[in-house]
Amino acid sequence: MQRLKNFRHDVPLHLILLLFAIPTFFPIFVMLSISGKDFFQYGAQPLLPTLPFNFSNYEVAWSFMSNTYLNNTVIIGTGVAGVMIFGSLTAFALARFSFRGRKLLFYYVLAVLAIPSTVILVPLFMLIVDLGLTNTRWAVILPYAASQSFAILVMYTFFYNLPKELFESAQIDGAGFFRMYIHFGLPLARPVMSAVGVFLIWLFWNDYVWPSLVLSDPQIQTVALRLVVFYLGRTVPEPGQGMAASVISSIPLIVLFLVSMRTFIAGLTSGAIKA
Amino acid sequence: MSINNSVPLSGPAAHPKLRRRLDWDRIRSISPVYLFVLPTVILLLVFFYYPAVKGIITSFQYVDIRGARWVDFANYERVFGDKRLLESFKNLAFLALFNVAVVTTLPMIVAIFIFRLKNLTAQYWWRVAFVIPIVVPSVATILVWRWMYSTDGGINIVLSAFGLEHLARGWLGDRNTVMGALAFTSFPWVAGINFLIYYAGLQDIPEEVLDAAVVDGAGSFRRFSSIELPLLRPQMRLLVLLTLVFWLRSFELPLIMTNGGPGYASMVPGLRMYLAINRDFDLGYGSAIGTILFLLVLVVTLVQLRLTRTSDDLV
Repeated sequence: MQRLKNFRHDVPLHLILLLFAIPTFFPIFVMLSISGKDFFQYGAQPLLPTLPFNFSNYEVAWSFMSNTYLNNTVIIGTGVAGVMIFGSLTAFALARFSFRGRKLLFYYVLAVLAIPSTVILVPLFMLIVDLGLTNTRWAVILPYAASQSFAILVMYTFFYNLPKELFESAQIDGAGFFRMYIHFGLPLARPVMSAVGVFLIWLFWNDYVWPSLVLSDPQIQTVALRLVVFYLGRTVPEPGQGMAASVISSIPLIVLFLVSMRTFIAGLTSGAIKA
Repeated sequence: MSINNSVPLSGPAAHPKLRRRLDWDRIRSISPVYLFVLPTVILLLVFFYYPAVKGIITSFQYVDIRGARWVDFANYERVFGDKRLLESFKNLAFLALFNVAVVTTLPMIVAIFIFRLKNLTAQYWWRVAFVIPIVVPSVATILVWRWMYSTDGGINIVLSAFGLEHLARGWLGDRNTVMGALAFTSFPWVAGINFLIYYAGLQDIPEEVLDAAVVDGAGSFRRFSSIELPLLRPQMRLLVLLTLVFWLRSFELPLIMTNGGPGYASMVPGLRMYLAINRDFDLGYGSAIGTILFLLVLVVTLVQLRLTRTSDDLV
């Protein structure tokens, strides 16, 4: 009886939500639908799905995109690892130790949040040119690894809120900074670190502007960059092939979402602090 | 691990051999923390602070292959003397304000509707549903929308399905519609982080408050206006500022959709800065635009710090 009442209460809400969900999913529906059309199917019916579903579009798109996945793995993997290792050390030091210049370091880290990397795009580009790093993966890895401030802030908050008693006995035992970090800091911070890590993977996977400036060599381009090059390039592909490439570029994020839904959502919400 | 900086002037330390050992001790006690924060310090210095300063310097220079020379305010004069570029600031303001209006309403409304479902499983799955679109990279989303606006694209197909063929056009090629089309992208602007932030805010509302409202006989709208809306104000303030900063710094949307065209109709300052690097190699000019955007972001961020003050609570 109660269930029925609840159901009746919920029905109008479901209908309103459906009204929002349909246009929200329309582009994804379009992408999937067109990705299966050959040239003639697209000409006859450009929107609704048609049979047979043409997997050859995916073959063409994949032959163009395949090498980018290794690049993304190397670039994002190294970048995120840099943020996680160096960022967590700094966050741990800031939160659990008092040392001369601690407050200064805190503001030094925090102030970077007011410098989005796109407003320093020109000098950053000049720096990469001066270092001779254009057209190397380092041109993207290093700025990514330097984007730590947000991660440090989230991890700092976590370490800061841990109970004092946890560390007191270790300190009495004479454990130094590094041992405390390895034995207490890291294991406890694993959930918060994976949330931040997933958020960063998502963020870097979406980045297009910076790689488009420094990676002109097709061999080391990233997925997002290669997708745009393919889609808008000199030899414009059939619509189906372009959409197939879009689908392919989303698959790793879909997998990431499926295997870590909770962490993914936590990571995105923690991104709220990012200014 | 506090550091003792006082150096004894007499006593055992005065003995040369002992003094050396003591100094060594001091270095050992200082080093761990500083050593471990050093990589962060260097990375931030090289990839944020140095470029930020260098950008301001470059904005007063003319740069070409032979090097840089000082041109005083010439780059800024070019920025403020270029009517078309000033128009692009108007485009930026339009996109930013439009998205502020959107972000303060639609994601919140949807979050509230979901939160009010009595069936908790349904709540969970609706929440997941409005997160899922985020797994499509923004570049791919923009490309799909680019197709929607094309002459034989989705918008025109939908229009003719409703018998409105006469409205159909190439939405991105028409200077009267291009900015509207950019703003309309990702309609209905619900899915993603904005929605999640509101939802997290709703979850933080104490249950007693909602129960008390029910006991007092507050209706659905009263619950919204007297409880949910006021208690979501921090989230709203945060999202307004995040949205402003986002549109000040990003130009991916016009870059991929229109490259600023037709003509200059959908140009934004950030995109002009990008073209100064990628097309014109006009680095001084690009830096001047970057510095102006930097100042705008700084103003917005300082206002945010002023309003939230989270940093003071944590140090």
